[in-house]
Amino acid sequence: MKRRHFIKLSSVASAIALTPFELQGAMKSFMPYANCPDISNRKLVLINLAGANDGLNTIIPLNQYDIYSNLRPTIKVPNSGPDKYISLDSSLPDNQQIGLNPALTRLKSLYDKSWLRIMQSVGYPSQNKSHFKSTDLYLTGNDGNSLLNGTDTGWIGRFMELYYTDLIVENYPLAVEIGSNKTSLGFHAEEAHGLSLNISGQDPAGFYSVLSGLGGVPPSNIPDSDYGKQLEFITNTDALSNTYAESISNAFNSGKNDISYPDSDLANQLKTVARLISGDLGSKIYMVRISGFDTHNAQVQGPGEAIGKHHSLLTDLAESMEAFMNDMNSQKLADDVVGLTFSEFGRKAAENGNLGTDHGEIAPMFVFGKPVEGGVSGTNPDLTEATSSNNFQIQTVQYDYRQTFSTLLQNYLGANNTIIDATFFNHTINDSFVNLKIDDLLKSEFDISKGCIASTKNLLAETKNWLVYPNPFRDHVNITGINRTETLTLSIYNASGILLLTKIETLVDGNVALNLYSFSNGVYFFEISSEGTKEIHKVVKI
Amino acid sequence: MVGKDTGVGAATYFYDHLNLLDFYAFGNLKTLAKKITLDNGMLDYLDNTQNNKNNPNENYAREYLELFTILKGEQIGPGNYTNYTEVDIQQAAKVFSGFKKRPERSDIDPDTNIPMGYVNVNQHDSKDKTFSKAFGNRTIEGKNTETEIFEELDAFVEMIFAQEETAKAYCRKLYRYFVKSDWNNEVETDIITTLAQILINNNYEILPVVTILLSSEHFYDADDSDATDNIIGSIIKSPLQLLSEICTMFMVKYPNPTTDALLYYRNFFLNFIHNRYFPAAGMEFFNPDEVAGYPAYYQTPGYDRNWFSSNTIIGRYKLIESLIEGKNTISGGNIYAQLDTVTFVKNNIPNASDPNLLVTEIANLLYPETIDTDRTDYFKRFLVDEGFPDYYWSGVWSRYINDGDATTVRVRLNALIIAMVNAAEFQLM
Repeated sequence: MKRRHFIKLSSVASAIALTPFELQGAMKSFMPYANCPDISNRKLVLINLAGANDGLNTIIPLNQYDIYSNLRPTIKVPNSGPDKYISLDSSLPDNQQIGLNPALTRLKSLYDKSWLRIMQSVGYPSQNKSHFKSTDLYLTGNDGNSLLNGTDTGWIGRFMELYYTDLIVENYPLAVEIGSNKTSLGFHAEEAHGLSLNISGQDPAGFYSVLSGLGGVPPSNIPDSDYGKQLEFITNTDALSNTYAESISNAFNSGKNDISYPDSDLANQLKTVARLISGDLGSKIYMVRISGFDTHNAQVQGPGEAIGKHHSLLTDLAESMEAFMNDMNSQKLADDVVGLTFSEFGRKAAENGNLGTDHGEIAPMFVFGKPVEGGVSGTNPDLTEATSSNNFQIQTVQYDYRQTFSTLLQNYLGANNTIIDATFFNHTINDSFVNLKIDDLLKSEFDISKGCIASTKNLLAETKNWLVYPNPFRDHVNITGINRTETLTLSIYNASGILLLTKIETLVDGNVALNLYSFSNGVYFFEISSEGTKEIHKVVKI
Repeated sequence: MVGKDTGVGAATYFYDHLNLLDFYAFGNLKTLAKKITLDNGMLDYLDNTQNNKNNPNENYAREYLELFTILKGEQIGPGNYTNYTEVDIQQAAKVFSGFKKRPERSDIDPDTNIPMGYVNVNQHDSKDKTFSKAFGNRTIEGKNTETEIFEELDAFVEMIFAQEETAKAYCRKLYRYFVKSDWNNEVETDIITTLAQILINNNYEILPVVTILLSSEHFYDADDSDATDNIIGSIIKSPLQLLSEICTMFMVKYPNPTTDALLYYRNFFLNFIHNRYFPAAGMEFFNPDEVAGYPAYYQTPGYDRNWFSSNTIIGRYKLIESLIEGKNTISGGNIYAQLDTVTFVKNNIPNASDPNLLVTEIANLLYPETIDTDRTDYFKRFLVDEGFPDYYWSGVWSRYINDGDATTVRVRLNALIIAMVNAAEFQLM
């Protein structure tokens, strides 16, 4: 469905909205799996560590501490004294022995709860060392060898457009972005516009009341030219922002935070995310951002010290992550949330002499949340790879970043193989990421690939008591039920969830015939209530 | 350009940096590309002041190639970005090694009279620098005296600017800034390549190439009769463009920077424009989020569309309201500036007493294209309520002209101007 078409159709209606909660309830009957955990409210929270995080000082390869010290004589995390690294887990084998940066005490506590998996040496083939290019590759789902997965669309956008097709028409954004003025390339989709909403710097509570109506009524005649295309973009962005702002404000105002957060930019972003989730916003993917990781200089404040710029960033990250997860858990929402950190690349194994590090290649990824199987994937990177002949880089990729994402998209969110392949495909080795998923990323009770059977039947057809036909329809549409009732209450909502009409209809020979000549073409939701039951049907007028 | 609030060092550095950009604004790109390397602000911002022969810091070298000059091409192999490779970045870092900032501002560039950094001869890597195939495997001889190290820098910059791709990179930026964010092969061949040749022929003087672009038939959509490829109105205005157009068009009264400096700089510019309007509209003044600059000028595929997004529209929309009300409607407070809609209409709109002509004449001033009757009727409703005849407006307008009491017309004109400025049409240029 092309979302931009719906915008035009829905700009005239009055303003009683179907809440996201009601629509979510309706969507549950579309569940494609049987005997599975309820996946309909599951969300991903992506934390972008912008600037390229120094992986080697984040998780220190203890089995190669001497080589590490030689590569980083002034900035190494010490192995003694008050700033000594934190031993992650003594039960791990030697080549997985990790020392956490001392800033990461809160990360250690997530690990100890078995809520954290550390992915070693994440990257992609042929690393591009430009911040901008590599960020674009990460967000478009490509690697350094080819751009065959598309450059004008983001993998998140492609994924959402395909997997949440039925939700594209909702009055809430499928994704919410905070922390960057720039709306991420990751959310661009092929056809649908505005799948995501960027609320950076906005006050979610009053977003709608401030924004509402500011842009006025859009022009109705759009010329066929670049000017026309831009007018359409502006008009659509304005309309979508208005529509979405309302759901954001509603969710924010009805949601809550159960625990206190540290006072930092990242913590505030995650606090907002928690409150939106708590307020039952239907959005599926959240992206927040912490920047400053481009530590070419002074990443520690002095030779031999652990404290400094990098330490502060990691402290902020770990404390914010933990507060967020504890908040979710306290509100009994932790089953539905998995978080993940990613960074465009890592940093060079050797320091640069300015108490900093230059651009590198691989970096670790943190996957966290109650559904996550705690542990470490992969072994410590081999530091002997870093020599003067390769400009002191460690280069062996143990996990392609898309392996983690595809595992989560399929085993946690429930996407099928076709959708994964259309989201991204590994063109470098000509293989599907479905075949490259990561074992043990999720606890088995949360993993729908384990002991959970995908239904081939159309549950929608079996569970509905009413038939709406023909669908799609032109002007006339009928509602027929299997139960003998006198009347039903019909409410019709447009694609934005705005109530267009509600009335009681009397059945004649078990049928209600409607003439919707005056409706514009597009998608509508029929809410049919009778004898205490309620159903929602998605109906298309053509 | 450096980011004003993100690691440019002392305030004086940024002042000198601005003066340098100003000095070469209409000048020579290649000369600027040499001078900027010795700019104290840049030396600090991209860490080159710490780039030494034994401890190279590649930050400046990388961005110099990737963002400031030849720009990155397609990645065609490991570490190979078509126009240059990772090896070239390492070699460039060696060329740049030893250039240091001078906090005392005691070294003055004789060409510009602006303070500059210096070279620490002992910290400069005096070995030969051999570049990749992208630069024909050229070797630049390493030197160890001050004069010769500057010559080495010169040779390096000349090498970069001898590549046609560098000229094209600047012309693409100019085209994107002035005309349109993306273009087809025909424009690439006929316009970008042609402009690049003009830039090279003029040894990277910027004025001739901008003059030709801005006086071309193409720029005014006069090159053919096909309306679907018109380019006027295809760029979304930046927050700065929006502000300057509104201030100019409506002759906004703000405190005089010379005679009323405190109110102008602190209350109007700093407190309102700089601290509230620009951030709310997504343009931190001289301080983009990234070293690449504002996303409108580099981020595919949207480019200028980055200016108009759910998180920036409140700031954009509130600007005109603030100026008309004379107070900051984003976060409160007096702004010490005022847009007088009545005086604007009286002085600039010949047929102000006819509501239809009033609307179309304002639209002609503000919008890239004329508006149709439907649109005129929509805007007219801010002057004359639906169902009432046009002469109601003519009446109140002539009463204002006769007795000078603007109360009635002001309320309506304020609403009209807010609607017309916040309309989709005015967002484009």
